[in-house]
Amino acid sequence: MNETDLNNIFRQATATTPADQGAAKRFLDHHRSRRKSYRHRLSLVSLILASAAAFTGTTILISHPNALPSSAAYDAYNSIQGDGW
Amino acid sequence: MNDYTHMPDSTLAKLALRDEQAFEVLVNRHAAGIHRLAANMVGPGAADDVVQEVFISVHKGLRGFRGEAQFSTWLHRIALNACYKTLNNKKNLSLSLSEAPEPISPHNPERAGDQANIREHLAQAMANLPKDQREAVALRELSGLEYAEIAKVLGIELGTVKSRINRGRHALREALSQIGLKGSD
Repeated sequence: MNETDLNNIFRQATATTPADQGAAKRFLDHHRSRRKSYRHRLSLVSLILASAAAFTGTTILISHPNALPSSAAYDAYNSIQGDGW
Repeated sequence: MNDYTHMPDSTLAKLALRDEQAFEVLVNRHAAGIHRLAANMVGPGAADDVVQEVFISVHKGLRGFRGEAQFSTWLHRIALNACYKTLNNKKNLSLSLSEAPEPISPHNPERAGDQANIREHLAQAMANLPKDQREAVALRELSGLEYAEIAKVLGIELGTVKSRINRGRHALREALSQIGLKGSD
């Protein structure tokens, strides 16, 4: 085999095929589907977190139906200034 | 597609951080070349795996691409790494022609079969080259890169690129002669 033969082999091997041309579409189809599935999972997690926050808030509100606990800062303020603002 | 198709790679790479359409233009522009390189380095049957690996890496790595190197230089470095990963994952490096290659051409199956055969044999012969020669020959003969860009991809001197290509071509001629592969005119 000489240099020309090798060049011919490279020329044939690198001629673009339909499989080469379709590579972008095949990749992008997978890529879009992966991203769609990722976004779906992300929105599901957000929904679960929001539901958990709402549930926790409601539970706290129901278990302490009266006044909210006063803070130490508010108590200190009242002890200096007297009741009321 | 909008004006993205006329933009240079470096601009698209920056836009692609937040814009999927810019990323898709990059894929459409380069996927065929990466597939062709991979088909000749790992065989046509595994070329799609390499393409997947390369563009997933590109998508993840866009934030780290600062545009100091050409996009093509960066892309080819990633492509070579993906080819090695695929070659390492292959249990049997000596590819058998009985492995079903992916569908190639609905128009001229005989010629497409010939080409798949050539790619398989070339991939075999390339896999047996020393790594430094294989990289240089692949970038020059399969991707058509200029010597200067090959030097940047591989991080070596121009003269070293040329000598590796010469030695690699010589070794390939011997290997392909032994298996009786001959290119038609």
